[in-house]
Amino acid sequence: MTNRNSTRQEHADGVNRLRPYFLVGDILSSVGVGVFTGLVCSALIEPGWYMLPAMLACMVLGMVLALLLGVLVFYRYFGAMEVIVPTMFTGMFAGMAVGMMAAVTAVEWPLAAGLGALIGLVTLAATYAANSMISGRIVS
Amino acid sequence: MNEATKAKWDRAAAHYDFMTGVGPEKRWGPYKRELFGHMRGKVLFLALGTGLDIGFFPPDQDITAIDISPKMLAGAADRIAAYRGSLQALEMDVCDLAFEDNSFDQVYTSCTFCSVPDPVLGLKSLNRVLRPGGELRMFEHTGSRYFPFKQMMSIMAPVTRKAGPDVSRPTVANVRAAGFEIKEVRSLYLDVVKTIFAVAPSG
Repeated sequence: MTNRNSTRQEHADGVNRLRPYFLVGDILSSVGVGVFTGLVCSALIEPGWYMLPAMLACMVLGMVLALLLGVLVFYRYFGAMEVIVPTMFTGMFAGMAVGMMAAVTAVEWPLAAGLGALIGLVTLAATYAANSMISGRIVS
Repeated sequence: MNEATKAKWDRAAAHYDFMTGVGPEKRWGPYKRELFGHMRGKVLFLALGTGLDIGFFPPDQDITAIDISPKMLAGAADRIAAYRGSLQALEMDVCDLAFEDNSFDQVYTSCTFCSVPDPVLGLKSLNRVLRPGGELRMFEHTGSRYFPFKQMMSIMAPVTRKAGPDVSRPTVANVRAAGFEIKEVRSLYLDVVKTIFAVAPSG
């Protein structure tokens, strides 16, 4: 455990060497999934739905869309787990939020897309923060 | 030979380079190069696939590489020929290795034990062919120990298993269960992508 800090630094150095390309890719992936999920959920859910079923249905739909987009579009260019994990969370949260809102009031497409994009960015930032805390030598 | 696993990876061979040859390889190339930089002595490498990892091997090594899929190995032919060292590729199932006991100084794996149907059996097989005190060095996707990533990987696993890898496996525990002594585990991404360094018992 004594080498944990230095190993974290090595890890950060390694990530930084690749950072511009993958940072842009990670943002594109998460924002793309968030926007797409928001648009699809706002188109499917109408005011009058019960909020809980709408939220749950859109949560599942968001995760399915995220997995499809992650694997079929973003995986090839930006990595495997590093794309799929944050986009799955983005799809889940964006689906829940837009699904709930759309069950209460009509959600126009710019709002649905903007909310999805915002959720994508926040989710990605949270994943980066978690990764910076977890990465490093666990057993030595 | 596990025919179902062989057929699954034979099917994947046609599009494997297209899917993984750019993003995943570029993302983790520096870590693989660092891991494989420890190669010395007689080395067993699995699973070779289409040979994307060969570019990260240090030159002038004595490497025996295996893969369960002949179509994957056919796709690796040019990369094998281009390697500056001894690299022999064989079609073989890790659970049924045709090598003598204590044949290798080191074993390397790269994204392998997410896909071996019986991972502990496969790891025990590696333990058998490693000399006492020999090194096992792995680059693997595994389940995470941390909330909420552990739960998300468990949700994804039934889907990913259909296409290839199981993304929720306790690979570090499996390495221990196969009789290895863990020396170091290094998380590269959310405790999901990691390198594992273990040694075979000294006897």
